[in-house]
Amino acid sequence: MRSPWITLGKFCLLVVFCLFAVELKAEIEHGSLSVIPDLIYEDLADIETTELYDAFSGFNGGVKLDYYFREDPFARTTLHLKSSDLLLQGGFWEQNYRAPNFQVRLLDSIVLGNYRLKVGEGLVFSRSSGTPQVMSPPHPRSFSPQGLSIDVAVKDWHLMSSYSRVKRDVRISENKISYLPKSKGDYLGSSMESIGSLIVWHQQDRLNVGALYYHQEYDKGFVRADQDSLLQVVGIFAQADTGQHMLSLEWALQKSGSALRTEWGMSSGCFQQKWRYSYVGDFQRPAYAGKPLLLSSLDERDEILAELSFTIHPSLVAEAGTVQSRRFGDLGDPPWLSHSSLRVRYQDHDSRLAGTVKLIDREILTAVDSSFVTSIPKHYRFSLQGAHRVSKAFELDFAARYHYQEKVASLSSGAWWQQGVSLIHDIGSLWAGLSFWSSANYKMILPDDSDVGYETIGKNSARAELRCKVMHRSTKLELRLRQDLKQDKATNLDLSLSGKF
Amino acid sequence: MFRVLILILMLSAPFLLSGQYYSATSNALSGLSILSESVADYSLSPVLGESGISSFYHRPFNTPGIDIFGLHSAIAKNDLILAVGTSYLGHKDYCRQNPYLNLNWTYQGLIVGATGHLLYDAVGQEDGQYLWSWDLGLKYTYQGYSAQLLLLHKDLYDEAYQISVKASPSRDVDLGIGYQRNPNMEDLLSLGIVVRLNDYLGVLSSWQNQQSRFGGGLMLHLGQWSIGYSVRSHPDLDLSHAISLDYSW
Repeated sequence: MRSPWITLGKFCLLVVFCLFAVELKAEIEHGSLSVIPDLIYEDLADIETTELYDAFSGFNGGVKLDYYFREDPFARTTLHLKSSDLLLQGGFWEQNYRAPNFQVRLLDSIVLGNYRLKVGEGLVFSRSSGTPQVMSPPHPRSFSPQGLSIDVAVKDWHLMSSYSRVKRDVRISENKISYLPKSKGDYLGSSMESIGSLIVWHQQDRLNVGALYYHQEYDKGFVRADQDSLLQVVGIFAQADTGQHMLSLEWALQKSGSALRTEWGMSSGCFQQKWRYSYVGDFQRPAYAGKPLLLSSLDERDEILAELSFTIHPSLVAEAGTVQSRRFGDLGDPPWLSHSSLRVRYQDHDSRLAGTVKLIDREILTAVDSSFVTSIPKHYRFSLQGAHRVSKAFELDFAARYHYQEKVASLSSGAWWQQGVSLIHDIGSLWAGLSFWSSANYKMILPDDSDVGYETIGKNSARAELRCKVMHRSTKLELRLRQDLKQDKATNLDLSLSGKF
Repeated sequence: MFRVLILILMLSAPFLLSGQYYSATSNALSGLSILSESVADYSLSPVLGESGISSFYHRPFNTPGIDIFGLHSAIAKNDLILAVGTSYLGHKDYCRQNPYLNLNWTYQGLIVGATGHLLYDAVGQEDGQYLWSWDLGLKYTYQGYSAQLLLLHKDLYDEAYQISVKASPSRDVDLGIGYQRNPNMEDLLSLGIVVRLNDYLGVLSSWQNQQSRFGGGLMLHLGQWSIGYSVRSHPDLDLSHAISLDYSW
């Protein structure tokens, strides 16, 4: 049994260390560090949707129409309408099923429809980088709370309450919920989900402190014995921002256990750093919580994250980060799993180059002679991206990746290579490129500009690609054509038209 | 059946597979990179000293179903040149790629460079094999003369040491000779010539003692653009054809 005093002791040490660091005289505001982006690709679609609504935020109206020609085509519409007291935001997805997410916001304090809440460090809702917020609706395919949220403020005190009741898709096994999908689709089963929350916080210039109560209920039980259809959580959160330093904390408690996440960020001259400690005990993750642990959410763990950035020269930045995660409950010494990254970026007036090396630990269970053996095979990833502006209208770019994993189970290595040429003009741009990949049975995930924000590639293939962008005032037309040169010779066409007024 | 035989031949001839004579210039010049001005030949030489972009299509032995594509680019930053590129051999039963990254540094007439290759080949849709290899090079140019020392395909079966020299007896003629020592295969001797007939047209030709023997091609220059076409003979097989499009700066 793990003593809570050890956790408390670690936390006290971290707080003392942070308070000491606050005394240091820092010079510039801290920026955002994110050296470990490979771990959050599931959230890329919602991040892209948030960025889209943010781009519309300064305008009374905005619309974006997307059409994706595939073997199974789909379309998406995004809308933003604003008056002095009213804001309507929403998206609609049409494929072999329809998926809308809409929201009406009155007087900037009453929200009706689909919403996302950002509170604290993300143990109960999504992670907030400031005070609690009711966010725009997510990607139309993403599930989110659907109901009412009210935010009232009296002087420095804020009260936010929300209630959601929605019949959502679930995967059913033996009339119990085996899986709560993040995205809408054909899951055959459904369950009524009810969520209520009450959040109160006190806000000052540089400090906000608050508490929350959360209630979640499903009309079916869960297959997993450690998950309950009725979940109640209480928690506290706090955040202090001195301009140079940022300290934040969230602690949440439920019947079965507790979770803690705390973070310190600092910037000083050419140096930035971020430290985070997370502990998730026997804690059932709420349906719309952030990802409290980056490496695993399956069992009782604690995790330490450190990210450092150093500006060696105005055009050269080196960044390093590591996440170390440990499982509790093993009989022997629990193995530490880590995800470490080193990135170097160079940029000047006409060139940019970035190289990244990542080392990733993954525990793999292999069947050997009627027993199972766990191993952590060596796995590293190397990526390189660069571009050079040859002239005012002409730019070259390339990107490459190589993933290597010791072949213990079915995974092995993969590589991807892309080169392109851009023609750039005031009214738009044209990009043409070729990509080759050889990943055979290894599925490689690549970030891209598509609807979900990433692409999964496998097998050996080559592809030609053309991207065209035309802009006129606040209207933009984008076209992306991809032609596979091997495999099934599939043609993909993405067409997007957006306007702001 | 013939295609299968070609494939077997290609699989059993590592030197051919490494590749390297895929671009229109290397196809015409028997891989004598000291005579080449195409950035596509960074896959052959780490000390080319050129910048631009190049793409090519190569059909080995005029065999239908086997296509080789290449895309290469090189940018100069002060005395440094960074080059990247890849060639892609696609066949329904075989796949081979040769992506590389090159860095070379020029100081007066001296060029020092290194290239890292990540070779990949796979039969069918099976999991393929990755092989890392390295090229190192040193080149010195003085007036109309150049000499070049290369270590090629380090750690591969076809690892080779190459020495070559170039002389320009007149402004429009370049002559080159190269000797390549291959510890695991027969050594190669190559002779090549480039003649610029006028501002627009150049002729390239070469001879090599092993395998493909004769190469020849034409290069059409239109300002910074160049279009090249070349053929290369083989004692037993049909001609290999290559066409390339280059833009230099």
